[in-house]
Amino acid sequence: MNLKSLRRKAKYAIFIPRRITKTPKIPGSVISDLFCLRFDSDWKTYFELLNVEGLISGDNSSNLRAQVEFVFFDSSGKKIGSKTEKVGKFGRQTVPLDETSLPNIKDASSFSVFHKASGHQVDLQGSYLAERGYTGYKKIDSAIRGYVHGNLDAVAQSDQGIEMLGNQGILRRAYQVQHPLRGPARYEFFLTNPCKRSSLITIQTKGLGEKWTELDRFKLNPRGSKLWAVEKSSSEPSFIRIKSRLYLGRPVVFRIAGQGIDVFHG
Amino acid sequence: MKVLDLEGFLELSYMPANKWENRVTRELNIYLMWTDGISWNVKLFSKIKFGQVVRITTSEIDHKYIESGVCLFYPTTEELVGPLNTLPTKEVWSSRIPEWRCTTGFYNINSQTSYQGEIFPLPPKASLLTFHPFIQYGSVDNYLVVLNISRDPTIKESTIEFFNSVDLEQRGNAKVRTNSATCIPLNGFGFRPNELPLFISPNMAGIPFGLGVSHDGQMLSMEHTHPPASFVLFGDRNTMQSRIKKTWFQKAGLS
Repeated sequence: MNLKSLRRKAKYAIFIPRRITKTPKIPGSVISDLFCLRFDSDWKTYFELLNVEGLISGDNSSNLRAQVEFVFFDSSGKKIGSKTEKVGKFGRQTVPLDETSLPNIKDASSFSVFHKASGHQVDLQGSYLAERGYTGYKKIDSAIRGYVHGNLDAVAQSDQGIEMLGNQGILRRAYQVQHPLRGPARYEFFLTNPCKRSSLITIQTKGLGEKWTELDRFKLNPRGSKLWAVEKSSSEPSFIRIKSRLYLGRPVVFRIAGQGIDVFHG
Repeated sequence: MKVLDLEGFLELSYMPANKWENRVTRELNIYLMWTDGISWNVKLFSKIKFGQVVRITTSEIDHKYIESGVCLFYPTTEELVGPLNTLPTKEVWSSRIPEWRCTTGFYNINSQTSYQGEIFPLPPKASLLTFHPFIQYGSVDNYLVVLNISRDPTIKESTIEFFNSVDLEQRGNAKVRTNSATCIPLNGFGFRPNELPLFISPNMAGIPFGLGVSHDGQMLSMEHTHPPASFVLFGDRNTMQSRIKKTWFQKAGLS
């Protein structure tokens, strides 16, 4: 092994010695993302509910025995409510996440979707059923929804409760958002903590050829989340990076310009 | 990519997504690559130094480079001389966790829609099976964009079949091509809001995107649809993907 290869392996051992997310401890757990929930006078959120078990088994016809539980969390990570829905009645069910889902939905910042077994035995080859589906966001004045898929295998649920799957390291590390910010636009970054311990988050910015400067610093509890916003007036690119102990502090990015919203993984 | 009357864009930051991998910092050549159906043509488009950003739009490149709906921008430390019989295999990484990605997407005068993208050539003998759960209704035109890039420069035509996943009723089909971005209007296939469309291309792999364009042009929306393996995590996902595909292929009568 040459020196370069050894150095690279040492870096991996220091910064990311384990997988980004942990395998659930309880066999039969179901996994979900921590999805961003936006509900106020300006924003609405929709979740595209599918019969995931039926899609795995190859039968997406009506199966009223299958259920999902929507679990809602506030920004501190506290569970503030849940709602059970039947799945399989339709091929696709667009669920508006509003007061009909949870009376105090205004207090919610994120949600997870846990599929319940229908009773059919589906051999998952040692895998875990996961909800990484599609969330649509719409502003009051936007003509259509912007969609983004789940991308963070954050939490698992079993009969023993909710388990956090994210890993974090000993050393703080920076995750640079790979999208260069260009204005005029408002950028909003949705960050979650998928780990079982709280994490200190630092947001830094810089322009081309400049040094990083700190913009904000806050703590995210386990399952906690924050929508952090910045106005960008110039069309010259600038950058955001997120320092924390999270293995992958990657946000969902909302870029709002005029009546259009652009939502994507950062 | 360029589809409809939308322009495509690509924005590449030469900065690692994480600061600890830091795999390469040398100045890179960015090659524009496009196929004429016989060879991959190569043109040095620009250079990029560590810490810089390059933004490229389809409005500023000659139409001949993007006749198939797609052309490639390949950052490399090497010097390339075209035409090439196959796409180069050497990968240049700024980071792997996560992959070094650009922001790419479409824009019009009012709006833009982005995703974080990179593409690796797809295998020649492969298939596509995906469900599209975010067709929108109202004042919106929906499209399926199927992106395929293969090492082989030839452009081969194949078929993608459209079904309602609940009762397997076939709703139609369309032609798709390798080394192309094929844009298929979806509004005419009659998918209703509670139906989950199933798309199967038995002989061609591809990356499928759902694209929505509001009738007033004020907003665009794009996201890729998932491969079947995304329904599970950990364990033997490859076997699960194969099994799910095989099951649906059989049900659709395409095995």
